[in-house]
Amino acid sequence: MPIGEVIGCRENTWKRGNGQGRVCYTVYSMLPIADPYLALYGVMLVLFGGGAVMAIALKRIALLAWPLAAVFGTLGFLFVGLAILDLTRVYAVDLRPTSVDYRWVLYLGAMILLDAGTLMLWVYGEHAAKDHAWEYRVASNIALLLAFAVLVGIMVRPLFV
Amino acid sequence: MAHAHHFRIHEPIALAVLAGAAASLHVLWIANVLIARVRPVAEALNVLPELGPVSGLSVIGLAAYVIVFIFVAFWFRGRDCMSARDRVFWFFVSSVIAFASLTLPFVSGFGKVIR
Repeated sequence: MPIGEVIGCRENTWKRGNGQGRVCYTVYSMLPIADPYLALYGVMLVLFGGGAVMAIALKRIALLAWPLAAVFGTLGFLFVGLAILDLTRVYAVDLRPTSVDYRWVLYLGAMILLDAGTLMLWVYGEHAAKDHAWEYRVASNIALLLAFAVLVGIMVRPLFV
Repeated sequence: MAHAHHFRIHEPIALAVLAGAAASLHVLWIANVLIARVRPVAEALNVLPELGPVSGLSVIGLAAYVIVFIFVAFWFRGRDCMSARDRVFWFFVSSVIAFASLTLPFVSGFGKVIR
């Protein structure tokens, strides 16, 4: 299938502000402007930025563990939302996932890492800044960084290729 | 003393979280490889036909997480976790490396792939 070819159109796929209510997906570029997917993606990038700053400062400011856990938890839910939106886009063009695509495996891995980071900081956050708990601090940083990498990877790899 | 008491209450949960996530990531990459290569496994994990095998993959990933979490949390409840902390951490690191490398499409899909 050539790059750029339209592979599916459907009426009222998204309720869009311009009143068109029609979205066409192409092989190469599947994200129209003002797609809720993009808005959700932007919010997640901002949260990841805030989480990264807090994670870097966690060694010095132990009180940041709770806000960081909140960021992790929110990102976990947003990842579920992003996966649902992705599935919606697949359904919108009458495609069905017949195998486990790399994309869905990455979604699962990111959700597990984010849930682990949230729970770990929630129950052990106040100790995470201390030297004897460096394992938990490093593990939460790994979870945050990998989930961010997954988010970037999901956008870099188009859904319809 | 109060700090030590608090420490003992929470660390088994933190350990269980790490162990559960690590086990779940290992289950996910192994199942991902099996789905691509063994047709009965792919069919067995096709829990929701609308979603395909990814539905079963989600279920067993979650199940592995919950089972290991409960087991480790109860196992270390009231015990000293100091000796296990390092081992569980490196188990988590190894699972992250395994998941990140062995789910890459050109690695997991190398060789015969069932369509």
